[in-house]
Amino acid sequence: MPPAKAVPLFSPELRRGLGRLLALALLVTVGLFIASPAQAAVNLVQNPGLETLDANGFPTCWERSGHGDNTFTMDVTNDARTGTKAMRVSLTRLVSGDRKAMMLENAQCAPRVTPGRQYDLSVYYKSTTAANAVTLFRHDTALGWQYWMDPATLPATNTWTQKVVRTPPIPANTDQITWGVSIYGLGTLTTDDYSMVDVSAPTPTPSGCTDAAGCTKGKWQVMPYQSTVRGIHAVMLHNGKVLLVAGSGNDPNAFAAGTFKTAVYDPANGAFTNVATPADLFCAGHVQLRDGKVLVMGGNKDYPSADGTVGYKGLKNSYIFDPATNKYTRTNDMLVGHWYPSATILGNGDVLSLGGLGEDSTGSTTTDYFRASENRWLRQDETKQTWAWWGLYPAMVLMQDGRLFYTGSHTFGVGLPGTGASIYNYGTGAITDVPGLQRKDERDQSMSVLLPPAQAQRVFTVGGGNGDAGATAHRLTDIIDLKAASPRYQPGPLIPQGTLTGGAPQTGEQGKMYVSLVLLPDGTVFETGGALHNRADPVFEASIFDPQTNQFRAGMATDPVPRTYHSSAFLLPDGRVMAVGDNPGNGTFDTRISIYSPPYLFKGARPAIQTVASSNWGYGTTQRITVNSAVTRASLIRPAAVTHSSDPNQRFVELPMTVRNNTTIDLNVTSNPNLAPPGWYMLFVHNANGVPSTAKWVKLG
Amino acid sequence: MSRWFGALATWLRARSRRERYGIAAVLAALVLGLAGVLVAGGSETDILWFDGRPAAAPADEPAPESDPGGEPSRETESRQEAGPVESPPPYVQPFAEQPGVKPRPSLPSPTAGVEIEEGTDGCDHAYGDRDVCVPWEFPAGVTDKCGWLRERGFEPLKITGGRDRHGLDRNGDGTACGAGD
Repeated sequence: MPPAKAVPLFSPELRRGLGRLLALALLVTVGLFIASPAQAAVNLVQNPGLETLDANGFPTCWERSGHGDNTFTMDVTNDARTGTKAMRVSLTRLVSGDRKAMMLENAQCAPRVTPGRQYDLSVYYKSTTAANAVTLFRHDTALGWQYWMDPATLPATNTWTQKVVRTPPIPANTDQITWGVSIYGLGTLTTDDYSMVDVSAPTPTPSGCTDAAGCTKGKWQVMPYQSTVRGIHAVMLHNGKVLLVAGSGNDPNAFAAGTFKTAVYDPANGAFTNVATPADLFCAGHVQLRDGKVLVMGGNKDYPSADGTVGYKGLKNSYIFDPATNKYTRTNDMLVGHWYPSATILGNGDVLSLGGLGEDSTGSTTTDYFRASENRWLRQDETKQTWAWWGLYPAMVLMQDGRLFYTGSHTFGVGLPGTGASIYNYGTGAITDVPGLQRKDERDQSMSVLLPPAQAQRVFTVGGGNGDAGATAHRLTDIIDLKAASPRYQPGPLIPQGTLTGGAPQTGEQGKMYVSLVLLPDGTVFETGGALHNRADPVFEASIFDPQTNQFRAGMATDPVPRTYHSSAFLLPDGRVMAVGDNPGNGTFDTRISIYSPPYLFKGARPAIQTVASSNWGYGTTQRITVNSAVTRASLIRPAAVTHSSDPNQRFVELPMTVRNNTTIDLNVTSNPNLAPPGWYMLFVHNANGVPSTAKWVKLG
Repeated sequence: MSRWFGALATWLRARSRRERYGIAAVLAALVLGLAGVLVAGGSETDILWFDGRPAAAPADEPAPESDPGGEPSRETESRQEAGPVESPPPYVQPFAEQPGVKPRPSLPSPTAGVEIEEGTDGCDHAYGDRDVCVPWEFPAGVTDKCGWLRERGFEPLKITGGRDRHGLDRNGDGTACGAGD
């Protein structure tokens, strides 16, 4: 029997055909995977189109929300973008507050989130007013539901318009968020088609650590040259240079000789430019104005007498320093002298100055008010006086409603009577105590900062002592949330301990005064410098405080130069930190300059801001930038104007992002000038590794 | 193409009924799988629909209603553009209203500033030049004050203020912490 002829299962034609079919199927499948929104299609909003109503005819998983004295309607309308229903809110009478339809704050309705991740919030809307804002709440697993922020402002529009804004990375201890669109002006707002999508965080590139010590601790560099002036007052200018003001520099001989000094230092090349200094601006106050010029107020009229009968005397002179010309121009005088005055810029660009010693060396209880639009200090009959005594260099932080929070941080001696911290309303003159500050009479040359972001309205007060009493500086910190109805300081973590001269470790309750706090572009706070006693016993310790966790990361590299009395540290636009000054009790002064590179500068390539569409920014706008790689966060940091551990204007303002693609981003600027007073800011972005760009300068307001 | 289709038909006819059912089931499963990928985006946990609409993917949502005319790109026509717009009023939150807390009583216009005690900068300026700061109060536990000062770089100090609160000039030569003190 001949062998059976092998019959193939598939004929050649069939094999060819099946092969083509298979290739086609493969191509289609791959195409579908690429084209489908596989990564970002899950809408986490329940009832996002508002189409499903409850028994009361209101959309399920939604609620009427808002506050204040106003008249409103809030109902479903048939004027829908898609489907048959949308939400319409009308404000017909408004004294205060807002109204909004919010997602219900319960386990079923509030979208679930994961800490560290980011979400694109999208809504379609029409509004007859420009007073609309996306409002975010978050559910803290320990504290319950909390206001988070208003990440975007929505302009008026009579056609359906989409607004997309990305949340900042979800804070720790957050498991759900809710959000809605608030209307806070007279008008009608209609919204529809909400969505919330988990956007894949840009994959952190490998840390790319090039220096093991740098990656974990950062590194200091002491410059091979010294400052030509005693850097007692330091102001970061919007041209990238640093104004260092000494005046007589705590040197009575220089005072007697009328030798007053100022220099402009250029960190880029180490150059110093001497500036003619018209008066003894030692012990002055200072703040950048809207246009980037520096308002300097008060100063040293005279040193104390040796026999103790007369103390320091304060000047009432005031000057404006122009970075473009490196010149001071005198303004009119303040009402009274101020030696160690506060200087806080307000949301309207004006400046309030409080406290200090007057021309007769008594404490100044006169409020001085600088009207920026007229470049002058107001007359007595134009100012609102409380005649309250605020002490020396009182840390007055501008709150989001325009009031000032006196943090309790000050220079010299005990704190103020009462609880040692308070809220001051310039408009009404009301001063109300705020409780909770620990050891309020030992906060001499502590330091306070508004924690990042400014929208969180939390203030951090660190360390301090009491030079008059010879107290040993302590390790205490306090944190207050000014969003609370009745804010109260809560104890924060203890300052990590370092070493004293000779390397002896700190022990027990030993902490530091003369401490510097510097807001970093990754949203953390660098804590450095300080001393244990009045103008003595420097503490070598540095740490990074994380506002997300309320913890210090101890063990950062320490400045090799002691930084005690008359020292300051501040952020440079390249992301490094510069430290100047040290004036121990023996009367010497250390003019060395140290510059710290934080760990983020050792963690791989930095993102870069390639273009900024406009350098003049308005409130409530969106501003386009382009970047060279994916970033997770953007911020404005107000440049420093610091002395004596006091820079109450320092702030980090979150810029929620509308991400158009990996390189084009619209930044949402707050509508509230009290959150970001007008002036020049350093614009930073950082990536998922916390590595920041260098700054671009933008002018806000 | 007709040749391989014909061959396919011939081949199919040659299969048993059971084999044909099997092939049909495999093809159906393939089609259903592809459809699933198309609709759900390939994620195992994705929610497919809310309210009968696909979940919004912001970057892909057209919004022709906001078309201002002309031929803007599909991406830009639906989104709020960057750049100057009408200034909105500040959005201020009702925080820190401190219910029940009474403001401090108002104060009368003063006739003089607040008296400041000597030593407000923590220094006793009766010793040395006024840039020198002998502590107004030494830290607790300091018994050898001159030793403490010397350790911190202080030179002998002339007593310039006519008094010696700390007893640093034990030999009365007018110099604090000098030879013999």
